[in-house]
Amino acid sequence: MAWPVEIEAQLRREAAELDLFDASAWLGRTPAFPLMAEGTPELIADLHRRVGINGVLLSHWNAAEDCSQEPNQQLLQAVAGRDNWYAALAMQPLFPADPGVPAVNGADWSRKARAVRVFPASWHYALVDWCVGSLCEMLIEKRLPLFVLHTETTFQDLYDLAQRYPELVIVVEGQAQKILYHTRMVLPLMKACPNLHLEMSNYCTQGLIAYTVNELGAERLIFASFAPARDPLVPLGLLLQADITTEAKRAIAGANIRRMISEVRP
Amino acid sequence: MTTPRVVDAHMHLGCPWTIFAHGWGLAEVLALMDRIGIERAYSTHHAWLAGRHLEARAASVLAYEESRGRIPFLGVYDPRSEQESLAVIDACRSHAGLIGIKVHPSFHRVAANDDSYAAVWDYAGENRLPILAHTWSETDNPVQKLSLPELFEVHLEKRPEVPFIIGHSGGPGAGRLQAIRLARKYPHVYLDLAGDIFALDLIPYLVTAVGAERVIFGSDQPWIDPRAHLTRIYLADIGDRAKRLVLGRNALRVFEPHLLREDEECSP
Repeated sequence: MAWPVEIEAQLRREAAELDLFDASAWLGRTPAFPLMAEGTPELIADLHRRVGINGVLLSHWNAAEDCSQEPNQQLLQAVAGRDNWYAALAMQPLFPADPGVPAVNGADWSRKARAVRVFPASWHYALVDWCVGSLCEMLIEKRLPLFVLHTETTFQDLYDLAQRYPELVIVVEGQAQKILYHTRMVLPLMKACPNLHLEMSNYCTQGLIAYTVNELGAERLIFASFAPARDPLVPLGLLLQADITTEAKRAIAGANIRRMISEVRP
Repeated sequence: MTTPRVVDAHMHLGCPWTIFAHGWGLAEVLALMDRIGIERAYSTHHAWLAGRHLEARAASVLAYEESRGRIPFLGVYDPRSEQESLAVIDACRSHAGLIGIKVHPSFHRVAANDDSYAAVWDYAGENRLPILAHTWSETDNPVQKLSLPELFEVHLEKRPEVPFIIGHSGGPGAGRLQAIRLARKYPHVYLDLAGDIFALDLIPYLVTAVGAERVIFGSDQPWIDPRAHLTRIYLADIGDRAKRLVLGRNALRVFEPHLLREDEECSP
């Protein structure tokens, strides 16, 4: 293939054909990525325009570091008025209820808030049934997907929770530390728990995307950038050149997450 | 326009024993190189890092030959066994496949500024071999502080004739700033992109910070799929010349200058 016009043009054309949706972009910043830029709606929008990403589920780092009320409000403000922008609001266990965080019925779940994010390790609890059971029941009722960083919980707790609530849609994220060290846990976990999905921004071991698709199905992987801490061109490159069908790439790129968040109930 | 020459200057052959990975066999590696357009790859065999020097050297030579010279290799220097590891490297010094030496202070648990590395810097200088080092930033993993880029400076000052590649460009944190400082100060220092250093716009940032002539594509395959890096280079806003340098010409200039074609730049 000639250089440079054809290679760049082909990559951009193929990326556009995937209809990308970013399941995890972030406002704010985190000490986990000490040199990262501050995440702002403007930065995310500019980045998505450069890469060709057509929608986003937006989260806020401050919800892990500080009170989640203000970050949740900032998220709702950021996604308001932007087509295909949605918020992943931070929540805690429903009992004892943290004051005002967030009012379960206060957010317009069906319109702009389309997922819930939890930070169990940061907020000193565990994803165990006797602690988060009522939260899980609410999520199931509203068909809200549950997002959690793998560093915020344990694979055993994820297994137990996914088994206990098979209707709960869980998305495990491969950040903020390498998930490649844990693939011997992640793959059996996903095989045992069909309701568990993996965000693939850091799922970067050689050939692992094709392996996972072949073993577990393309519906189990979710494209995300983790911008601005991470470069969306990394997961894009992994996906574009993966040895899987175009249909599988489109599922991972956006179809899977769009289907999840389209089912959220008021 | 010609196809860019792509050289993966930092990868590994052999089984990465501590993680689940597949596709690391030589035939699969070559198939992937063909599939995604990698012309050459520079391997440090996992077994060599683990101290199985003779086994790893034999496997590296075999891979070089079976790949018809597309996968040259770096010998590993272990500061805990200075003479033995240098002897194993020296025994294949005349082999065309040996193109450099790898040091990994974190893996070998000996800080990069320890005196026990002096022998390998002397050897590299005398034999005109580049040194590629694992480097990283301080993290929760305590051994990474043994590989901070600034720890190598004592050797860089003494051995300006040894091309030195800062593997992983110092990692994700302050180590990156140290790596940039060293590349700016020492003309024989290069930064490689290997590993999960996936910061937003890292490639334009490094190219701006130290110059395109000093940034080298590497993957850390099979830990990291080369496809994680290639698209971000192809689509980086750095211009065509810089992309050619980063993708392969810099690596060739440092490790295998005799392979640069006449129509390619031999110097920045």
